[in-house]
Amino acid sequence: MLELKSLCKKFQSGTGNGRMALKDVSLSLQPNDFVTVIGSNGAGKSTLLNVIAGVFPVDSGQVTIDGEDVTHLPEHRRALVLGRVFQDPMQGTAGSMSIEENMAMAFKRGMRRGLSKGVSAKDKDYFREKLASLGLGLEDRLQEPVKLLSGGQRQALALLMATLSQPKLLLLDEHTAALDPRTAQEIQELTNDIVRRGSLSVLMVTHNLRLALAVGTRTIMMHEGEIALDVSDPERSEMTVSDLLERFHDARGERLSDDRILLEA
Amino acid sequence: MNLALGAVFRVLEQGLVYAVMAVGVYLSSRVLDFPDLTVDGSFPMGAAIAARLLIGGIHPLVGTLLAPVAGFFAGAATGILNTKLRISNLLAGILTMTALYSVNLRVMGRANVPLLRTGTVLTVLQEKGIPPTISAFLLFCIVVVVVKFMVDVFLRTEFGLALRAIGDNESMIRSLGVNTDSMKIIGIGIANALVALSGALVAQYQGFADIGMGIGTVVAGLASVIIGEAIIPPRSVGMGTLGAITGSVVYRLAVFLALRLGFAPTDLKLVTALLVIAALSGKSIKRGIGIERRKAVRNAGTEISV
Ligand SMILES: Nc1ncnc2c1ncn2[C@@H]1O[C@H](COP(=O)(O)OP(=O)(O)O)[C@@H](O)[C@H]1O
Ligand SMILES: [Mg+2]
Repeated sequence: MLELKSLCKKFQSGTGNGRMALKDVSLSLQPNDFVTVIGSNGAGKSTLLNVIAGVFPVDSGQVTIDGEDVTHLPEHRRALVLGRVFQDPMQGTAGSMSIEENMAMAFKRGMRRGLSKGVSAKDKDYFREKLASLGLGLEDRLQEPVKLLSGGQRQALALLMATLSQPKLLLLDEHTAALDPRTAQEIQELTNDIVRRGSLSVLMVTHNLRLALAVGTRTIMMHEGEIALDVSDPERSEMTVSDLLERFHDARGERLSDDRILLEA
Repeated sequence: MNLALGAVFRVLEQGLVYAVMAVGVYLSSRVLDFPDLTVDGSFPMGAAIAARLLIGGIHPLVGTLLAPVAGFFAGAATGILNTKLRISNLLAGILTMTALYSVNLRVMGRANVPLLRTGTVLTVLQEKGIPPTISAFLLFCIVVVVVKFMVDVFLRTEFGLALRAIGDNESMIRSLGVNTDSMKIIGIGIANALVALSGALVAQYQGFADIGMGIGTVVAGLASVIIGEAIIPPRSVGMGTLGAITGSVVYRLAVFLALRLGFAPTDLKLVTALLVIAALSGKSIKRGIGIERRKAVRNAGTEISV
């Protein structure tokens, strides 16, 4: 489904050499894989997702999605098969535009946009039905500008928009981190629902280690631009957070206190 | 009394004919969030092209409608400089505007082209039996209504939604598969097409095209947009364009009153600039508060437990 081969990415820092954000990263995802991604701050998790989405080019390596080499395709040409949700609820929606207009834009993901009506009556019914599935009452507020929604509502909408046109791969970058714990949990449950219903592969970055082990089918830990750990079910389903940290110690010969991940994240 | 009424009528005509330009500035500055200085060059470009074609014996309607075509390419040039050559939006506009100065002089052949002895869209109307006293008002009303209707419909199409999203959240709409570079080029092109149309009409209205008639156009356009937003909060696409049009009329009225109050005509650009500065500083203070709030939201998310 997704095939990453020896990806390297270096960011030029203002002074001197810059640093490697991705060091020879290889990863292979099967359809329906739900991979949680953990790692301390600056480990390269967001860079990995950005490189897959084509936000910036890699220095070397290859990105293949569904058999197609997309390494040199710009971001907008990869959009058809990719859905994304970010940490900031503002980032996934257009605040000055209405809920239905946001949905309509997401519905046309990766397709040609012509001069026909942006929101057709037929689309509206479909949007209403989809919004109703969120259980937030948004289906009655189609014409309202998105900026009037709460952070949690806005993130739920962003999640719905990311998956509306059935992408093959969903990239979630700490998408519940900016929400209060209760809302975060609701959005996470919604995520699990959506993933269960549609058949798609998921990469979900989180700094909640327990959550990382509790959801999905596979967990990878990134450390200094590399994939330091990669565990899958059924082995993973037995693991606790301390097992995970122990495995990291065995693999890297260094300790990662769980504070370091948690507090820096 | 009649004289004063006539003067107010003239002001209305001006407000309407410049409203077409204001809608163009609304498109670039508000819808696309692109501060576009091409306007100071594309406005006289529209005037120059219409003047040249009319003098060459082209039908006034054809001459007037070719001006926005040229305006589109001028705007697209700025868009290309910005998106493909990565030149900042302000500098890209300045470069096109500067280049257009020479182009406009070439088109006109000299610095000022009088249109008093050639037919114009206004004389075409008058030949059809419309009284000269209302021909300009009538024409500009029709043009403004048509432009507003077309822009409103356009901004609600699939393409229009994507265009609006660029000004709102560019990275989001790119992640939804929109080539934002091409969209911006087309969007700035359309904005300048309207500006050039306005320039072509103004030249025929005032009876000449002049190489210097573009100076201060973008600031006047911004002033109109800002005044319009204050009068009509832009809650929808239709209200946004209506605001720009209303703002343009009110702005011309304010200019008229300032002159009546004894301001020298030469001081008006200073007054307009001060008005825009005042409005912008108010905005940036508001925006500053918005940023603080967003930071707070982010920080609030960092305390999460295992
Ligand atoms: N756009 C960028 N420009 C420069 N450096 C960057 C950029 N994005 C990330 N980095 C650097 O790359 C490294 C990895 O960052 P990131 O992928 O954001 O980490 P994570 O998401 O795991 O916290 C960090 O050192 C970060 O400073
Ligand atoms: Mg990150």
